This record gives sequence, C-alpha cells and structure tokens, in this order.
Amino acid sequence: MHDILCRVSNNIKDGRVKIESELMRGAGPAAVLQLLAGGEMYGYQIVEALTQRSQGVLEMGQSTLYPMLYNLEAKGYVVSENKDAPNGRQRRYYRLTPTGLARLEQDRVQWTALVQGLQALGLAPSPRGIAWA
Amino acid sequence: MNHLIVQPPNVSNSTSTKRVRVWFRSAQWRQTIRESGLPNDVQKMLLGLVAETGLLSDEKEEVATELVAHFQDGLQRGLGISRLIEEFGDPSMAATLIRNGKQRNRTMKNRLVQASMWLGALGGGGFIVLAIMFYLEKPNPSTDYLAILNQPIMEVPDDQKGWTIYRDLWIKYGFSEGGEGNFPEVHIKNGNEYGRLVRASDGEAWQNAIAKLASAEDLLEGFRVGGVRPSFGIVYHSNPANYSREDFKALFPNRANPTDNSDATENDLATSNSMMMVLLPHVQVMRKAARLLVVDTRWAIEQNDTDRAVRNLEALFGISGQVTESKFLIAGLVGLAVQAMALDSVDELLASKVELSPTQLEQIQAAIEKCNSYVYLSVETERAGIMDVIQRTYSDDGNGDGRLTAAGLNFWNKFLSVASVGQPEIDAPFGSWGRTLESAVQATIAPTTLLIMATRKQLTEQTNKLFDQYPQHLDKPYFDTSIQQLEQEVRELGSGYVLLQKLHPALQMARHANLRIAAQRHGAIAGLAAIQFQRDHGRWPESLNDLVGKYMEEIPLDPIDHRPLRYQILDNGFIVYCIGADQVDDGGRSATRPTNPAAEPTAATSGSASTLVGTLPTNEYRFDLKPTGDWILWPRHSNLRDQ
Repeated sequence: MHDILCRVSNNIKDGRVKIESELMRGAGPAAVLQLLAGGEMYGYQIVEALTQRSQGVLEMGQSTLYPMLYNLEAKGYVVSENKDAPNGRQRRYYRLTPTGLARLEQDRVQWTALVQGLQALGLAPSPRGIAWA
Repeated sequence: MNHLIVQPPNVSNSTSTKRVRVWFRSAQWRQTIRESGLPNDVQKMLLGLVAETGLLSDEKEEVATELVAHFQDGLQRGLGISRLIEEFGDPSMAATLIRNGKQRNRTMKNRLVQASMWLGALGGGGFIVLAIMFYLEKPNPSTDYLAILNQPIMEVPDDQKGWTIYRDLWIKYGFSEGGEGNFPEVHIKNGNEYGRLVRASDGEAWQNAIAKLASAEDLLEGFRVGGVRPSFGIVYHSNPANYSREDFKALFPNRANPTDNSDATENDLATSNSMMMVLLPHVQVMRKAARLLVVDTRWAIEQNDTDRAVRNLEALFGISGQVTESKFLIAGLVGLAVQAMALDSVDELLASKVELSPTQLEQIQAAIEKCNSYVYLSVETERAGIMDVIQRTYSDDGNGDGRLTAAGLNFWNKFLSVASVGQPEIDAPFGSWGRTLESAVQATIAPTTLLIMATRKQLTEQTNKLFDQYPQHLDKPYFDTSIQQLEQEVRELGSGYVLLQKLHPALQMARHANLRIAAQRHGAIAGLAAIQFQRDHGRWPESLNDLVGKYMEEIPLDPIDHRPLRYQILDNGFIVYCIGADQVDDGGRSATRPTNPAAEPTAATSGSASTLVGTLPTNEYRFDLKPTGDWILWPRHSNLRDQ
C-alpha cells in the first residue's frame, strides 16, 4: 500500500496529475493531432498548448515532442514547413493532412470508447459524477 | 473542420536550393546553433545533441533550426535557462528518438545518399587495404630454378660438350643469329624468303651451294664432331651479361657488348635468373646447322662419300638430342624438326643406291635408336617455369600462400602483356602515378585485381594438379583426348587463373608432333632392320617379329592404336606403316588428301608398289579432314621399295 501511495504522489506535481510515459505513448500523438486540427502550430506552441489545454495532464518532455512530430510526419499525418515568424526568426510549422485527419477521427472514436469502458468500470468519472471506489 | 485541413505544401525551390547548399556546407548546423544567441549552456547541449543524432548534414540543420527556435521561444516566454533545459529532458534520449524519427521520415533521395555514403566508406576502406597489400608486399623468389636447370649441364666434362667445338667456329663464321654466316646459298630462294633446301638437280644453285659448303669445311666438320657428343653444354642465362665473353661473342655476333639492345638489368626481378627470360639463342641456330648437314649429305651422296654421309647423319640425330638439353618445350620441338630432317636424309641416302656397308647401316640405325632416349616432350621444365613466374609475381607468407603484388604485375605485364590491364610502357610500371594519365589510371585500379586473382596457393595447387596428370597422358594413342580435356579445363578456369592460362604450353599439339616423328623414327628403325635382314638372308622378313633380337630390340607401337607397327611385303619391297587418321588398317594403302584424292596414287589404285608415295601427315588440318588410308612410315621414297 505504501508503494502504491508513493507512486501516486510521484505522479502529482504542483497539484497536477502527470501521465506515465506508457499511457502518453498512446495519448500523445492523438493529442497533438487534435491540437493541429485547430490550425498549424510550431513546436514550442504545441508544448504550451498541451500543457495549458490539458491542465498539465498531457504535459510531455519536450525532448519527446519533436521525435513524435517527426514520426507523425513520416506516417503522413502532418507536414511541416519552415516559415519566418513575425519576429524574423525561422520556425517550423506543422499542419494536419487529410490522412492525419482520418487518423484523428479514428483516434477520437477509440478514445471515446475507451473512456466509456473505463467509466463503466468506474475508473473514469461518469457524466453523473466520479465513481471512485 | 474542413477549413482547418491544409494540403501538403509544395516544397519551394528556395528550400531545395538551400538543401543543396547545406549539403556542401556540412558544418552549417553548428553555425546555426552558434549564431543563435542562445546561452552557452543551451548551445553546448544542442551541439552535443545534434551531433549525437548522426543524421545527414541537411537533416541536422533542420533539427538544429527547430530546436534553436524552441529554446528562443522558451526564453521569449520568460523561462529561465535551467528550467528550459530541465523541461526539455534527457538530450541523449532525445538524440536517439530524433534520429529514429528523422530516419523514418527520410526521403528516398536521402536514403540513397546515406546508403551511398556507407558503401563509399566501405569501398574506400576496402580499397585502401587492398592498395596497401598490393603495393607494399613484394615477391621474394626463394627457389633458383635456373640453377637447378644448369646443375647437370655444369657437371658434364668439356670433352663431352658440343659447344666447346661449336663456339670458336660460330665466332669465325658469325654463324649465330644476326651474324653474317646465314648460308643463303643452301636454299632455293622463293621471292625474298628462303625456300626449300637445294638439291643436286638444281644446276647453278647447287654449284653455288657446294662451293659455299666447301669454303666452310671446318664448320661442317665441327658439327660432325660436336654433334655426336652427348651434351650441347651451354649454361643457360636470363641476362646476356651473364655469359662469358667468348660465349657472348659466339651467341650475339651483332651486339658490341652484353647490355646492347637489352632492357635487362641484374637487379630486375623479372630478368634476374628468371626462367621466363632464359635465352635460347643457340636452338634455332642448330636448326640452321642441321640444314647445312642435310645439303652436305646430298653432296656426299653425289660424291659417293658414304663415310661423310653417315657421319653427317650421326651428327644430325645427335644435334636433335642436344638441342633438347634445356627441356624447354620449344627446344624439344626444334629437336623434333631436326630429327625429321635427319630421317629424310636417311631416306635419301638409302634411295640413292650408294653402297652402304653393314657397319654403316648399323651406325645409322644406332644413331636413330639413340633418339629414343632423348626427351623431346618434358612438362617438368614448363612446370618449373610457371612456378618461377608465381614466385616472382606473388608475395610469400612463408606457408605457401601469398597475393599478387604490384612488382609482380609489372613483371607479368612486361612479358605476358596481360590484356585486362593494358600494356604500359616498360619504364612506366605501376606505382608511377603522374607519368601518364593511362599509367595513373592503371596504378589506381590495379589493386582491385586482388579481388579476382587466385591466391598463390590456389594457383600453385592448380598448376601441380594439372602437371601431375600430364605425364601419364603424353604417350597415349594419338587421338586420345585426355590432354585436350585438361587444356580445356585450364581455359575454363576463369580470369583468376590468367597467369596459368597465358603460360600453359600447347601440350596436345606438341604431343602430336612428338608421336608423328616418333612413328617415323620407329618406321626407319624397322626399315633399316629389314634391309639388314634381307642382306643376311636374301629375302625380306615375313614379319617384324623376325627382326626382334638381332636387328632391333622390339617392335615399336603404332601411335594410333598402340598395337605393333604394321609390315607388309610388296612385289619388289616392303612397307612399314601405321593405320593413320581413319584408325582403320587399309593394308598399307597410302593416306590421301580428300581434297584432291587423285594427286597421290596409292597401292590400291596403281597396283604397283613402285608408285607408292608414303606420306606422314604433318599438319593438324589433315586430321580434321580424316583422310582415309594408312601412313607409310618406311620407306618414304618409292624407289627404296625396289631394292
């Protein structure tokens, strides 16, 4: 029980829950695709958006983000392009492709089903309230 | 949502141009980081991270630009250096993940570029190793095959050597190659070439010839005396400078000193005691001596000087053996040619009706029989020659193996004109880059020959395997194809064995020549024995069996089927024959040329022995035509059968 409590406390930082890397491996790409569905973004922008919009839950090591973007690009889900930013510096912007959008739709369906499944088990809050045992 | 979806951008020309530019400026990514204005700690981390990715330079540039922008954005948001570095995570892990991600994302062009770089690096490294082995390793000849060849000759006493008699006479007459003593008078000139030897029926030409012979009586007597000695007696050298002054003067009358017209130097690996460069200047000269003796025999017949004729014949048969002393195949073939001339002279002498004493007949027969002991066809000197080339071409690891070397290839290229690498000038060997473009290219590609050439051990084993088999096939029946098949195997060995292919002697051709002349020789021995029998008994022998014992040791074998030679009594004489190219006993009917069968009357067509013209084919084309009929070995002159 002590071990379990220690692990739970390790995953809570500044009052926010941090997702373990195994879970992030599946959730991260879907989260990035979801962000890019709103328009093109550059690396640091994605990092910020993930942290802010997920309230820190999906905050990922930045060293992981860029390889993830390269993988998404290799799979054809996103494309990137160098552009001059308003401050004159060059940034690399990532955009969703039609293939990426199709992937995102699939992810959305799967994540919905997963959450519903977890809710049914009582592992995730149901619309009517949290069902922690 | 559709309005949020964008099509993949068309990569602009400016991007392509930049990639090309970056490609040629492999350190651009470092510059990007150093000029970023980021704090040193971040720069240091980024330099290490990007270098650790091991990506192509343009990919590194992309990563560097993106990460620089990342940290600049972080700083712009007011985050501290240490927090930015901490939030970024482990740089080593990032480098690994970035490399994997970028490699998955790599374009076909970049994949090809990287594969080419690896291949180039591997190929370049391999080539450097090959070049080091090729140019630094040197052959180290350890066996002096020439000394082995010369050893038995040097042990022969001087009074047993023909050369001790010939030498002074050759100097006097300039008899050797290039000298003045060419004796053109003994030939009937055919245009600008020397034709057949002159005969007594040639009128003025004959008179000129015998006048010339009369003026060189001491030279002819020298051949008669020296020709019956058991050894020629000259020591073989690969460099003219190694001959004694007197030998050199006799052998090279047109050279003022040993180094004239010679590219040989004593330190040259190729020529220093090399079997390949052994000089045989005397061999062809002795063929010329034989021609003089043949014409002198005709003159002796005309003068009814049987003693001189018989001495000439003894010298001719002796010379045919003397020239084979080196055991080189080419010398053996010259020996066979001299022997054929001698056998023709025996025919002429017996056909001339001059009276020969029983002793003289025995002398001639003994001289012919002595040829049975001469080795006209030896493969051992040829094997030694190849082994000598191998040890001068390959390095030596001390265990019988080694590799082709630049020095060896020079030697090879110089004397064998290896087609695959061209024929560089003798003074521009491999390794002399820059002298000519051609030599530079050759020097550069030459180490790659190591990839295709057989190793020393492989070459040695293959050579020994072949040459161990040859002796058992040399005396097989004429149309046996064992050696032909082995020669075909050599041709099919592949380019790795080009040295062996280039040096391999034409053994089947030489074997056929040897068997043809041997058959003629055996026929002459049997013929002379039959003549002696007839003188003793007043009749021809019933069969060759009657001659065994007193008149000859054994019945020689027919070279075609290895059965005893055939013999047949005709109306006014006899014939000794073998069954010929059709391999059928035609009862002594002479072989005819299918192209013109009427040209040569035969026993079968004329019904008269006096019209028989015995011919022993000497050219390979006749065998292809497979003429019918037998080869008449004795007598070869029709009037002999009327004795």
